[in-house]
Amino acid sequence: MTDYADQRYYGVGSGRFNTPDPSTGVRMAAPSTWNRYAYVHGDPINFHDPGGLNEASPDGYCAAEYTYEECFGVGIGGGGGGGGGGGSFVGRGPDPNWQTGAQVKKNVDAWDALILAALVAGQARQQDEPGFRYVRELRVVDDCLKRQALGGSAVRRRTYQAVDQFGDPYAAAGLTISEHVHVQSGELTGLDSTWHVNNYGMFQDVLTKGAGPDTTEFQQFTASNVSGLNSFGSVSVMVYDPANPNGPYFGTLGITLRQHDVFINGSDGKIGGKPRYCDTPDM
Amino acid sequence: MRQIAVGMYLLLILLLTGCSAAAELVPRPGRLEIVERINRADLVVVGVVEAEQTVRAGHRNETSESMPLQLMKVNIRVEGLIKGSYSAEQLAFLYFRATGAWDGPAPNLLAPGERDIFYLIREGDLLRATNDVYSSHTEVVTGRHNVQPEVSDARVRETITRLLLLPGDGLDVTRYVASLYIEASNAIDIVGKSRTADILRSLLRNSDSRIRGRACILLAEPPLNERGCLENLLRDAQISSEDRERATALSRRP
Repeated sequence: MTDYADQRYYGVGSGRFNTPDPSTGVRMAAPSTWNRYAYVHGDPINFHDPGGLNEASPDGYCAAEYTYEECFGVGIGGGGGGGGGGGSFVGRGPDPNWQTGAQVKKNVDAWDALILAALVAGQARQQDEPGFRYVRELRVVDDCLKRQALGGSAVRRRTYQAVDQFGDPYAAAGLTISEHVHVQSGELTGLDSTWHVNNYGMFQDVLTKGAGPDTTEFQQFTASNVSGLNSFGSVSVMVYDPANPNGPYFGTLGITLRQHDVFINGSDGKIGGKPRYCDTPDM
Repeated sequence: MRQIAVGMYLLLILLLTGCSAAAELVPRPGRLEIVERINRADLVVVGVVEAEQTVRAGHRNETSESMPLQLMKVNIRVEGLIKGSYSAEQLAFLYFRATGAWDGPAPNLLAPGERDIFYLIREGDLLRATNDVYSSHTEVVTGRHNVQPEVSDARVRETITRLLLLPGDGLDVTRYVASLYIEASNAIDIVGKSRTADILRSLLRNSDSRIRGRACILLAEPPLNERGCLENLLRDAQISSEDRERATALSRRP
């Protein structure tokens, strides 16, 4: 039994499309587009395809496998420059926290190379192995200011939980989350951290200006599971931040570290202008 | 008069040698899991931070010239000795922390008044944290406990787990319940799933519904997967709507 789904036929019994996607959007840098029998790159939770030829996100975010140019447009730069409280991150318009040019191109190319490996190990397996799980998103489960200052500066701590495609915590022992950082201005102690998630899939990222200058940076996360049935290579993951007024989904976090505030995607994390101090310990 | 002069002289010698020893300390930046800290520590104590001051600023880390470090001295009031030998009620130790802008795993930050488990190593006459720059202590949000020094590694681990999971004196229940996900995960790392589940089961009899509810959720969630308590929990009229929602979802799992 088949249903016609506007542009192609869907096998109800098999749960698969029987004819390939007629759209021409195959991109080498986006391996999930290679599978012409998939629907919205195998991520129906975050994307939909009302016309049958393109995916569109209900939240307007840009899939991480797109290049910067595809996602935000070519030659659009600067904007607010991540000035804390600055531009919107919603939709496919230019992201004001990224700048165009060689620096971004280099980062994006490296990013795409990571994602290339993900398809074969990840999304293709998702089609063929019913038990396969992958990290759909990093959910912000706590966002607070620590009572301890560093060099007199505010310290913000975000607790993330890796969540699989079913919405459950992803807590595999072999799961690591890596942070890829591009410092646009100022300076940062240490770069590109890696975390092992805890037994409930959680990890914490701590941010502060410390005694250094004001700093603006951009951050992206990848997930990698090195062991077990659900092993996969380095895959880019979105951040789901339900409390962010410009959110909730972000592929790139634009961060500004200042003396009294840490802005993440335009939000200082305060509620009604008042800081919420951390009431849980560091991991 | 002469006794005072001798005393002052001895104090001066002590201060000078102490400062000199501190000046020779080499930073050891690194991240250590709790179990590694326990294993490496000569001394494990639970105590409250009384004061913290900078001993030396502007130190550069040999392994990363871009990382400016600061040598800090922390004074704590010892509430209990868990591993090693130490008899005084006060204790001071040293650690290096980064001072520049930071984005990453928790750095080593302390605030006066907070209660922590400290993992310390002896270096000459000094005590220092097992590791620098990154967090080297474990905050205790369960209130005050009476602890005894333990000899075996297994008993040390058990004591630390009980400090992290079981309510003590002066408990802030809201904070405790909010922290249980983190502490249960730590407990699994320290004593394993089986013992962690034992301790969580003991919380199912707690008089506070918030504690009962969260303990049951933690038992039912992966990786412990013990759903036996869910039925009772869902009959408990006092549990929070958040715990009820989660318990309902967990009880429907195949």
